[in-house]
Amino acid sequence: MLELDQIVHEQAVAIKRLLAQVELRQSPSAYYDRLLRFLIDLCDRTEVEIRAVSELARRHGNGPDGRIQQASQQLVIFCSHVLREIHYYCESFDYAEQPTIPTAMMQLIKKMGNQIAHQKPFILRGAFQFNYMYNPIGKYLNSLASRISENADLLDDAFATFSFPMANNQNILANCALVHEFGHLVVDAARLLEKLSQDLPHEIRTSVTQIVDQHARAGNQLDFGVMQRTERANEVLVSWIHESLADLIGLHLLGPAHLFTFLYCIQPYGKHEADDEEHPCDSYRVKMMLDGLKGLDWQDVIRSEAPRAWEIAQSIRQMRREAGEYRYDAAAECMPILEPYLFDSARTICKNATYSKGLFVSGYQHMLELLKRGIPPLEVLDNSVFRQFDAVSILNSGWLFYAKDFPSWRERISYVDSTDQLDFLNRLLTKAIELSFVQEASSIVGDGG
Amino acid sequence: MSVLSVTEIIDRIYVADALDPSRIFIVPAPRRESIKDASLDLMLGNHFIVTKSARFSCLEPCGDETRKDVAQYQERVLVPFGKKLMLHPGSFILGVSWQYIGLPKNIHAQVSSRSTWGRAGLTVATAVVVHPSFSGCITLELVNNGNAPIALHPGARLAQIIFMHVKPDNKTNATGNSKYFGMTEPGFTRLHDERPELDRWKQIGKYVSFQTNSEP
Repeated sequence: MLELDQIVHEQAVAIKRLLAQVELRQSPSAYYDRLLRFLIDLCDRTEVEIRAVSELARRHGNGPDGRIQQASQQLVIFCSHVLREIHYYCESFDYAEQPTIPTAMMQLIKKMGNQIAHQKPFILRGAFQFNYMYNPIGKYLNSLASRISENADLLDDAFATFSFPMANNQNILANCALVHEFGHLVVDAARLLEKLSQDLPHEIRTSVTQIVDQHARAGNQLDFGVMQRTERANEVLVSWIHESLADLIGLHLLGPAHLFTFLYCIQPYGKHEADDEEHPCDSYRVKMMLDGLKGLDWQDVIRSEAPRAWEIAQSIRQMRREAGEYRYDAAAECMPILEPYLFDSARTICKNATYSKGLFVSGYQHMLELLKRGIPPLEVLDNSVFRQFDAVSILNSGWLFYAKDFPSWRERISYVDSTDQLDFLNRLLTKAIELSFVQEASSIVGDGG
Repeated sequence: MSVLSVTEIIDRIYVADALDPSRIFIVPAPRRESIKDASLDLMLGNHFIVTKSARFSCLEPCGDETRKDVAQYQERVLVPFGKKLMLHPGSFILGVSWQYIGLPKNIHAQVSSRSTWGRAGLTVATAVVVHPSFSGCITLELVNNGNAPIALHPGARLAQIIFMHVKPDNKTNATGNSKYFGMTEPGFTRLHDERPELDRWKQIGKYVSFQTNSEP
């Protein structure tokens, strides 16, 4: 026992030292500071707990039937688990300095949060893994903290981290995928799944239940019972709904840029027919997004301005029809029934923040022309008056420019990500977005000329 | 080569056809009524490259490790608006203009300190020439020559740019010639690019010897 609590105590000291080093770095946001303070507090409390448990075990010895020793040991092991979690988040602060995070994208997501009244705390985290991920850490860390101490400092339950691949650090076009991750945050913060479940008409809910039950009964996996199979099928369905809602929210907030980013991100994998427990297959997601864009009246712009991208999206959509069965049959069968309600849900939550074609079409030809000349597409001189574009229009013009001027788009994006041309385009767009936010703020505080 | 007057600057920025090739792009554009002199003020952006202590003895363009040495010697820093960066006496950092400039083929520009800051001891640009057809944010080489630290605030009007006519030359194209074309942040020095030329001089030195009597 002495050995174990000594080891865990040393673990706590080492992690405190690591946290002290992280604290010395420049902070990219107030939320980052908030999480760091929370972790420092949790580490301190865990250390106190280890000391108290060791002291208790020493004073009372083994107790009747060695129960005290056993309970103490379990607590120390739990403390070690908490420390390991703190260590994990501490490591995630690597590359959290301002020059390494896409600050323009962070600002855009914050703005979107304000627009749809779901301004929840989040931090962006660079990762070596080539994936974009949403991690709702608030609830999880709060539950750990509450078990360590009743008076523990707590985070907002909706506190989340969005991770992005460090390789895409400066790639603002690819980082549009963060808006999808933000969609996940909105789904959780606005309790959209609960609302959806309440708003579903009785007959739809019954149909979904029947489909799940049928598949569970027909399942031929002998090692699982019907109950377990039903539970599993429901979990998969919930994950798919979460994912699809995040897609649709992203589509409402970003317009076609969301579809382009999705095509760009799935390109290196090339397995559009595969679904998994958390995601519907890519071809189904593309199909939903194309339907969504049609609903938002965007399809003509994409078809005429980025025919190659339109063609790719259509071909991926077609793959779903040809691929035949899904691995997760119950969820796959339920999704088409639920689709209209998912669209409604996304439309309602995004309301005025929805990016419509009207906001874009009047100036995008100018934006494309400016990009061709190597100028950030921020503003256009219109009858001697400068007219300014917003950040989402700038991103859409960037994607259309990329899709339009690269005829062999699909083939090239997999291999030439790091070309100077793409870097240059990303620099121009990032600069334009930064300028756009400052111009917007200037109009609020007054422009000194 | 003549300097553009206030009227000419206004005419070049506020061109009826927004995509006229003779237009000077300045993004964000200054308000028409704010252009009063034959120059435009440049504001400080919020990306910087600061120098730090390094283990190598000097920055040697002909060294095998020049690229690595430069990366060790310099570090990127972002200073948000409303915050400041202290420039200590004798220190050198790279900043960048907040405005993005796009010059036509027949306009050349020069960047210099504004006297307000010059009098405080701040030298803003040591490499002052902006070539025709250049496009990008302008890197500002900032040195504090005074005796007291100077607080640098992003957004401060540190420098000024003057524009000059130049005889257009269709062969000139900055996109192909300039090492720093299209930069929106200060760029690390590409000292290693100087090496081929210096190596050539080293070769010449093998054949042409200008030794004094005192040398072996």
